[in-house]
Amino acid sequence: MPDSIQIRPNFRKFMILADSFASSSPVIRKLADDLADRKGSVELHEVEQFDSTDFSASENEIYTLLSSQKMGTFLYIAGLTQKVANLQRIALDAGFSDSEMEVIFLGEAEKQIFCAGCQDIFKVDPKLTQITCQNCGLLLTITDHYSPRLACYLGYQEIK
Amino acid sequence: MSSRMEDFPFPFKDPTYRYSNNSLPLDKPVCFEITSEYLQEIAFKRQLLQKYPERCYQSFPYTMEAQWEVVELLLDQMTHDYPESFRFERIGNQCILSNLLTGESFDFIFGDATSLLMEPLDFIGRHVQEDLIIMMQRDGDLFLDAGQLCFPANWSLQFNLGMHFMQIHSPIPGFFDEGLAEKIRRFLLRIEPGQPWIRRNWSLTAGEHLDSALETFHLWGQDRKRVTPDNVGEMVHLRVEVQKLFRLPRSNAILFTIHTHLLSLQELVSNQAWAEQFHSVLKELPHYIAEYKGLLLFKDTVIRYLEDVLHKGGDV
Repeated sequence: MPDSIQIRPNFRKFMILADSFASSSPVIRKLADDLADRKGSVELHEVEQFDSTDFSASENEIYTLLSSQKMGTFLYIAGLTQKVANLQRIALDAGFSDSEMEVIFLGEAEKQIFCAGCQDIFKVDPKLTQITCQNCGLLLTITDHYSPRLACYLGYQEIK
Repeated sequence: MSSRMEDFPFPFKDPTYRYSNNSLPLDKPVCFEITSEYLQEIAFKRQLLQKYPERCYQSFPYTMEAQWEVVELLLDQMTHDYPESFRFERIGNQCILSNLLTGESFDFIFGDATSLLMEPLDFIGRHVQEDLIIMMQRDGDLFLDAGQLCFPANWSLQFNLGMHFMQIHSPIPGFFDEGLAEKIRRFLLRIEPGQPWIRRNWSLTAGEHLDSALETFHLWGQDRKRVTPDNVGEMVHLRVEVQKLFRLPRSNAILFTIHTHLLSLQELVSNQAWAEQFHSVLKELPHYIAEYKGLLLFKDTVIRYLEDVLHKGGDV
């Protein structure tokens, strides 16, 4: 996780698109403060509970917001690892180029799993697709089904 | 005809099946139904609630008002539509509910959960065969904020608690295609008080498992591997959920009730028209739906069984 983020020169406007985790993190709060001390406008948008499986209105809203920005806007995207990739994709779709945005990955390089069998919650390497539950020993498939309340992905028992 | 056959809500109308918003206006506005399995299923339900409280009951504290609204709605329908099964007296907030089927009687104070010794939704759910889900509406969305769920079709209340409609349904392949999910979401948001809806959902279950919880999938799911041409008729069940949607006028929440029916294939095929129609649906069913409904391991065995029965029926 970075300690601080550099401010890009020569932009008229800065936008921060952050999930709820990132928007309350010290590094993003510092970035927002630093930007506010400058001339020009700053917007911080919190993207609530945004994840790869959520195709609700929020995705369209973000797209609409981003595609209505004028030239000279710089975009910071910040959030937990899996969520940020989706925001970046929407920003690219909305016409932002790589030189007009910076993606900040926060959180640990792990994701939390909820074992469907024993309801234990534990962290795994996000690259894994299967894991044996350390508590009950069941073989679990790591799914994309995400619970914001538990901050967990569902680990689903294999029967094969 | 067995009473189970008579009660069974055969779900298919068309020769093919796709996900759709197949809700229809509910003619008789009652959110539950009493079948011949009542006593047996109520006993089973209460046993599950006793043994696995976390799995079967979840709620957020702010659902309390909506929970009492559900109690009021059910009590009203119980006495109005099933007067031979329930009696309810109320003087002020002092209430007595008599369940004439179980032979129980309960004194409680309306609006005071301590007088019930449990949450209102949990209490009233123990008198109907349906699972009861409360979806609270806020910020233009519906959230699963309370539920009593004993007979789930392979999903977890404790995992899904607090999710909005799209998050709940995100694992369903094809459900988001062509805006279907969003169409259904908007439909639900617009449901009005006094205008309830009904829909039927279906899947196949290997083994007679009403309580096919996600939490125990590694146990009951094994039965999917045990289906053979010899046991398929008794082992595989068509599982139909009759789902009803009621807007609660005070809390603006939605009460979602689920009545699960199971019918073994060997019972089902005693109705030739059902056997034919079901065969046609299964034959044409796309892979992604069959996979999500968990039938891949035994679908072909079921199809062959139906074909056998149908051909035999034609020869006699």
